[in-house]
Formats: sequence, C-alpha cells, structure tokens
Amino acid sequence: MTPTNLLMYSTFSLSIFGLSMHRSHLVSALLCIEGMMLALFITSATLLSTTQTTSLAATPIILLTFSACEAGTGLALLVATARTHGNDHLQNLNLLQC
Amino acid sequence: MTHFLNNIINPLLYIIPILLAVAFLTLLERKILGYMQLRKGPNIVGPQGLLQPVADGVKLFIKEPVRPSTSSPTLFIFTPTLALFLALAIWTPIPMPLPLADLNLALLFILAMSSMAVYSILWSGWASNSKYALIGALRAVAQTISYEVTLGLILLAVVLMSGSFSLKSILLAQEYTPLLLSSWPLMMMWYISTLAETNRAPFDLTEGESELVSGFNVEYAAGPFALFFLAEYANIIMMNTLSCVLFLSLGQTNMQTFTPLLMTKVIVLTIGFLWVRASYPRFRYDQLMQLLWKQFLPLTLALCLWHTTILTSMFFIPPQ
Amino acid sequence: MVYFIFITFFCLVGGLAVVACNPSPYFGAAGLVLSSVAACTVVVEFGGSFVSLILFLIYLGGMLVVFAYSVALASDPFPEGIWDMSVGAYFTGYLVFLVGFLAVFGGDSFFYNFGVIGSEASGFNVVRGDFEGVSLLYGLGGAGLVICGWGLLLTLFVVLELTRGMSRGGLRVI
Repeated sequence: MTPTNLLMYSTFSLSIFGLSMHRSHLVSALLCIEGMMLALFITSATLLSTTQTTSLAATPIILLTFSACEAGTGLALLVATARTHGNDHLQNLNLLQC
Repeated sequence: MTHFLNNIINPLLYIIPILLAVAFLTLLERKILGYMQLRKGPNIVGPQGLLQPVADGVKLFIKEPVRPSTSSPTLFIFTPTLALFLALAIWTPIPMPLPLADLNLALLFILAMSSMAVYSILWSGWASNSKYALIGALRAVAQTISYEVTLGLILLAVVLMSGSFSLKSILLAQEYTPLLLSSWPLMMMWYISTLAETNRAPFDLTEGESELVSGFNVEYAAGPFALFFLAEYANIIMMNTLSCVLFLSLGQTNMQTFTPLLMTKVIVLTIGFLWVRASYPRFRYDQLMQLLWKQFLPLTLALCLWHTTILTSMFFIPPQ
Repeated sequence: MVYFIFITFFCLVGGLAVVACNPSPYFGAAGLVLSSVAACTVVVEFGGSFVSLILFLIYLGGMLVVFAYSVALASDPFPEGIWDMSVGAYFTGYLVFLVGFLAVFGGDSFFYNFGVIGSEASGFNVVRGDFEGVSLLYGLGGAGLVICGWGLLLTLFVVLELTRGMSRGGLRVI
C-alpha cells in the first residue's frame, strides 16, 4: 500500500464513519458528506494523471457539479427542518408530528 | 545561498515595500479626507504629519492586546495573522512587470485567495463572541458571496478576450490598446465591485461604525487590530493594481517605465477610492443587494455572452 | 518536497478527522476548510492545478454558507471543541485506528513512492490534462454536459420547493 492509497481510503472511511456513527447536528452530517465528496474528488483527479488518460479529465468537474447540487439540496433541507422543528438536531427528526 | 536569496530575500523585498505603501496610504487617506472636509488632517508629528504612520504603528504595537475571556482563543488569535498572510500572498502572481511567481492560473489563484480572506473576517467575528462582531461578519459573508459572482463573470470576459488566466498574457493582449477602451462597462462594474470586495465605503456595511460600532473587529485592540488594518489597506492597493493590470495596461515594451507608470495609475485609482469614501453615504443593505443582483448580474452575464460570441463570430483569436 | 507532501497528507486526514469526531458545527466547518486547502495542495502536487483551484473556490464558498447557517441555527454558548472529552476521545480513537490500519496493511513498500504518477512524469508538460477537462465537457461530452445542466436545474426547483412557505412546500407554520 502506498501513502496515496492510504490517504484516499482513510479520508473516505473517516468521513463515512463520522456520518454513520454519531451525529447530533444535521449540519455536521452534511459536512461529513462533503468530506466524502472531497475524497472522491482527490481520487478522480489523481486517477487522471496516474492512468495518463486525458479523457478522464471531465470526471472531477462533473463530480463537483453534482456535489454542488447535493450541498444545495442539503442546505435547503437544513432550512426546512430548522423552520419546522425549531432546531437542527437529528434526534428531532424521529418525531412523527410537531 | 541562492536558496536563501530566492526564498527569504525575494519575498521580503516584496513585503516591505507593500507594508510601507500601506503605512503611507493611511496617512494619505486621513490627509485627503481632512482636506475634503476643510480641515488639516494629521500635521503635528513630523513635517506635514509625515511621521504619523510610524507613531500610529508604535502606538498600536506597544498597547496591550485585549483577549476577551468568553472568546474562542485559537481562532481569535489566528484570524488576524490569516488576514495579513492572505493579503500579502495575493501579491505573488501580480506582474509589476515581473511577478514573484509566474502562475498560469493567476486570476483563479487571486479569486481563491480573496474568497479565503472572507474567512478571516467571518472567524474573527464569530470568535470574539459578541453580537456586533457576529452581525458584521455575517454581513461580510453575504456581501462577498454576492460580489464574487460578478467579479468572476467580469474576469471571465477578460479571460476570453486575452485567452489565458495568466496575467502575463493579459498584459500581452493589451500591448496596443488597453482593455479599458474595448470593454469600459466591465471596467466600471469591476471598479465598483472592487470597492465592495474590499469593504470600502459606501459598501462598508461590515464595519458600519454608526450601527455596529466597527463590526467584526470590535473586540480587537492593539497588535491584532493593526494586522487587520494592514491587511485591509494591502487589499485595497492590491485590488487597484489588479484593475490596472487587467484594464489599464499601456504595453510593456519599456520595462523601466512600466513600474512607475503602473504605480501612478494605482495611486490615481486609490485616490478615487478615497474620494468615493469622502463623497457617498453608506448604502442600505437592500440597496447593496439590489445593485448587485438586479443590475450588475444581468449586465455582466450579457457582456460575458457578448464577449464569447464576438470572438467566435469575428475570428478574433486571442494571443497565446 | 517529499516532506511537504507528507505534511499536506497529514493536514488532509487530520482535518477530516476533526470533521468526523462530531465537534460543534463551527469547528467541523473549520476542519473541512483545512482539509479542502490540503486537498487542493495534494492535487496541485500531482499536477492538477486547474481542478484544484476550482475545487478550492467552490468548497470555500460552500463552507462559508454552511458556517453562516450553523452560526444562525445552533446557538450553543459553549461549543464543543477538539479539547472536550467526547470529541477528543473520538479524535484519538480515529488516529489510533489509522495508525493501526497503516501498521497492518502498510507493508514494506510504504515509504518507497507515493503511488501516484504526477502529470509531469507522464508527459503532460505542455498540454495539461486537467486543463482540458472543461473544454472536453463542452466539446465532446455532450450527454455529460446535458446531464450536469439538468441536475443543476432540478436542484434549483428542488430547493425552491423545499423552502417554499405558504403551507405547501417543506416549510409549515408551527
């Protein structure tokens, strides 16, 4: 295993651990998803130079576009939960009615 | 030895003149504001008040730095340094006429650094744990996010004209005629956007002395405050240099006169900043947003499209 | 330069560890800014200067908004930094896990090379591979461009629908 391999595995797995194990705020969950996108971005950007394939060059840009979509939707959900539940704690999402 | 010269002396020779220029810019501002309001300005320290910046610096740095007990100490100390560091780092790719580092993507670098500079305002406002500072910081965020859109679009039009993100090739594209003549609406909007980007009056809603008691830096005193101050004025000079490089370059065939000419134009633009500060009242927040989203954004979008189509339709190939 | 690359690797992993160990959202955003700066440096080191600057711009703007939202929404007077008990425990736990992972799977060849061939080494000196990404998207990648644009448009409508008031969208009057 090389350092870059370890870097990519560890960034992605750290973010996914953080997302799945313990979250109190919705914002923190969104931050973890952003971290996963960051790991994927580094992977696809270095893949391009490692495999010497220039036709892969559009992949990071497309990935970034979809991550921007994801971030926008996440923030909209954040605003909606904050308005309906009063705060952005993830525990409050278990409530069936409020 | 060459290592030492390249990595220590070169940046120092960049940093020291910038800091000197910033020091005298503060004096110039106070003098000009003074004379515009029919008073003298600083004239006690030294001949004609010339030593006033030195006195100010000494005063600021020997005072006791205040650290509010409820603040978040790491960010509170870290952000002024970040502000000054970024303000000096942006100068790296600017050609005068030889840049410290000739970056291919200089314009993107400058955009990225200047959007990083907002973090220093935001974090300092949040870390000082005061409502005024926080409101100032949030205002800074909204303003900067909005104005970066137009800044980016204007830059995109310029980049389309010159064919590269590198400032060298933008200078090369203006070898015979400055871009000011061909795209003056862009230049006007750029100048106003730089006013907003550097948080100068009439866009100084982040500081707003009357309603926010100077905004994000209420809690700062002495050394950290001086760092913020230096960063702000270094940013002003940097933005004006950038607008001179982007729109007002008069060719670089004569390397010896390039730097004095460039600096003269920078001084003229900077005095324009001071004049605007002396003449216009502060914008209301909705007026600021309306100016941007309803007037600048449609115009810049249309001009960006126009620059795209005119180049392709007239076989206008930018210089490489 | 090798040491510098290692430092950026550490900053990247450390920043994401800060995000993952559940501090207050302010510090999470700060950690993600740190790790995105480090990620840009990593991508620059392997020869992708254009994509890294684009990433930097987008992430910085995004984190700005996230930080502002978390300031506005989460009003805890004593935010949990990295030095608090639960957060610090998770942080050390993650770092120990990483070191263990390295010890088990690292092998002998860990410090020989980085495992990535930079752009310069593979011959992209004049024609930079990553500069072509956007032009490739506009030139040959018609379907990809259409899908991206459609995604962005869809996001616009989703966001508008989610944040619409008046008792019909995601917002209801409590």
